[in-house]
Amino acid sequence: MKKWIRWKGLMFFFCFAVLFSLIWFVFAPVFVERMIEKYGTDMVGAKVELDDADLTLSPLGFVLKRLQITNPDEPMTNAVEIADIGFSLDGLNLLRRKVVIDEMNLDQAQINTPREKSGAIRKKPRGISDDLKKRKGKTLSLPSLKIPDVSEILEKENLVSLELIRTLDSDIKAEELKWERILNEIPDKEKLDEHKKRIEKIKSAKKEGVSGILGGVSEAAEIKKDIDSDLKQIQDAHREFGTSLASLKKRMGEAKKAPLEDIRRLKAKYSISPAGLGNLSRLILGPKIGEWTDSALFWYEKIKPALNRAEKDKKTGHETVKPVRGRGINIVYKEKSPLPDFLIRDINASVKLKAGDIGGKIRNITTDQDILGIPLTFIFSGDNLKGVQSAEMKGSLDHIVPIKSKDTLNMRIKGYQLQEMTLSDQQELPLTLKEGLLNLAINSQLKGEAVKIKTVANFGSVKFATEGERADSLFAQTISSTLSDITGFSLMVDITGTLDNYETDISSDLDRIMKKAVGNLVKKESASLERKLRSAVYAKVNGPSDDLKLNFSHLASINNELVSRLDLGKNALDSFGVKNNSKIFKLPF
Amino acid sequence: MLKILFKLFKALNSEAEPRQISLAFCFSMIAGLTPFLSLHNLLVLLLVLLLRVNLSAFIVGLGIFSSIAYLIDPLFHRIGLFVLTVGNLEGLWTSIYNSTLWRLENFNNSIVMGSLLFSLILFIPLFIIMNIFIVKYRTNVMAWIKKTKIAQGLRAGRIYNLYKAASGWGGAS
Repeated sequence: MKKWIRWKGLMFFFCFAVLFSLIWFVFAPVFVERMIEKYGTDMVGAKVELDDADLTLSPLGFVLKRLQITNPDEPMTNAVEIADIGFSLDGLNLLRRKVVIDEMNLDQAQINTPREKSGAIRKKPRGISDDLKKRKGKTLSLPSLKIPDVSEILEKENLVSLELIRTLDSDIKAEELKWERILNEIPDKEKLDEHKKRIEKIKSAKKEGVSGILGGVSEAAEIKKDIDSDLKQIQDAHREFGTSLASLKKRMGEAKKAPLEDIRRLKAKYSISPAGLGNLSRLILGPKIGEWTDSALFWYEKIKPALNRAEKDKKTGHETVKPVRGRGINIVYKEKSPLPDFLIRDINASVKLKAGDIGGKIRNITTDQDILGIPLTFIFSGDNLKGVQSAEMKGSLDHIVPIKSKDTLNMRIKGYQLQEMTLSDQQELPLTLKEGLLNLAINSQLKGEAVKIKTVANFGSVKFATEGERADSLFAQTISSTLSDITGFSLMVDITGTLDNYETDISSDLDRIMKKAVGNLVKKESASLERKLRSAVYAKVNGPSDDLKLNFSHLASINNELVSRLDLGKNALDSFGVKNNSKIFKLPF
Repeated sequence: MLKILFKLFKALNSEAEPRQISLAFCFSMIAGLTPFLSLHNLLVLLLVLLLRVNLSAFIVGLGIFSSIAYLIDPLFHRIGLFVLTVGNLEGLWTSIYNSTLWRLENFNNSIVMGSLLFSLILFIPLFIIMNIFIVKYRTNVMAWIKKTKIAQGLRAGRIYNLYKAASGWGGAS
């Protein structure tokens, strides 16, 4: 036995085990730090950095220092920065390759903090701005409050009517040339008269006896055949001409109406629409609300893949992994007490805002909600903050059955003191909400891909600051003075649709007030613009339009010529005694 | 590596027990054919160090079997997948899947299971074949090689000096 046992080897093995553990202890935090940075950066699309990670053995866990998550749209700003993150790991489950964290503490989380170095990565991430660009077509801008001079408008605008008239005129000319050529090709008066002469000749043949009569019969059949053929050519040409003429007549009608269409289009573009002012709140606040919504949806879409891992990986019941060497398949069997591969049961967070600290709790963060069977829930609240009486945000992300996912977010803010909030920076009507008190309630729900967000905002003690009083435009002056009298208003925002394509419906009692104040003024100005446009557009269009009518009238002479040849052909046939196309051939005796 | 090879040849040529060399080769087969950072390889390492097996043979064998493993991984995957999905054994796999130790072993991976099963089945046959081979080598091949002119020439050369130097480190230590 002694011959087979090497006790020194056992000692060496333990030394090796201790050394391996020491190496693991030293390098595990570095490994964790790199993993967080790598996967975080990949997920966000901008740098995720961690200053330090420390391993604690009792209880087994990590303390992470200063986690910075860059805002992909603003690389010099951190979307979130957390000073300290501490958590303990369930050691036994870790051996089963399951990361289960019972409690995690996030201390001093801050949003929108400045960065020392840019957090952009080489590969351009898909940021919020991309979403905004994608939806740019939907955004509206405040209508211009200054009506430009009509001559200026016509200088930079192309008149569709003018283009139409010119094209039609050249088409008519081409058609005229074409038909002049056809008239030369089809049988003319001379040819048709010749048929008549031939008939007369046969008629005179009956006086020359029986042989003359018999010879006349065969020639008469020949002549009739020739007349029929000529007549058919003329009839075909006349029919074709009729079709062309009808099409040109239709286009003439369109060309006649085209200047009116131009006037309507230019008026709509350059005048202030009463309907537009009737939804002033949408025009002013729409872009801002769109920006906030896009930002929220952008971050939601970043989180969503992590929540839907179950849907992605578990369709076959197998989980593909990359083992140490080569690739293999991990077969998954039924667990007695199933647990997700990754789970954080509780997160206690304290968020440091300019207004003060708010506390929050996030529960059941996991990539496998289908296994855990409990949705992710969160609640954040704060009272007596600086400039805010109270704020509360709570919600849940339910992806237990991925195809029936349901996410909710409800937010209540009371007594939010607004200050210097720029609502519009348009040159004609710069608008700032100097001060005000806001009570806000947001109820949002995302069922599958269907978004439904309802927001009610009540603004009190408001004071608008506008520089419209100094503006040239009467509209801007009127709007400014109306806004300066307003002390409170409410705003309702309804967002419905899908994540990629949603509609924003904004309404406010501000709209009614504005419509009333400037409605009549707008109507008067619009009518004046229309008059000026009408006279300027017709002045430009009248000349080419007259030329067009003249050229069109030339086509009438072609028609007359065709009709006259048709009559001649019919007359020639009549002289045979064939009437009304009866095809009864009457012998000339 | 050259020194390790010499040590292996020295062990082969020495009076060391053929079983110590064969066993080292068999252990190296398990460690080499299966994914190296697997739990069972910790046990293999413990046995290699605790039992008086030839370490040079183990290291050389590990190199050889690791190289072969890359080529026959697809075969291991097929064996493992078959064994892990065969209906009759599902109850067994499910019960050990719920054991922390076995989960740590990653037995449910097709390549781990396939390669481990393959090397365990070949363990005893390889042990017997290696034993026979070493005995035959010592009685026939060694005696014949020593008599060849090349060997006699080499014994006077530099490489032989190295071999001699290596021989001072002991055989089946």
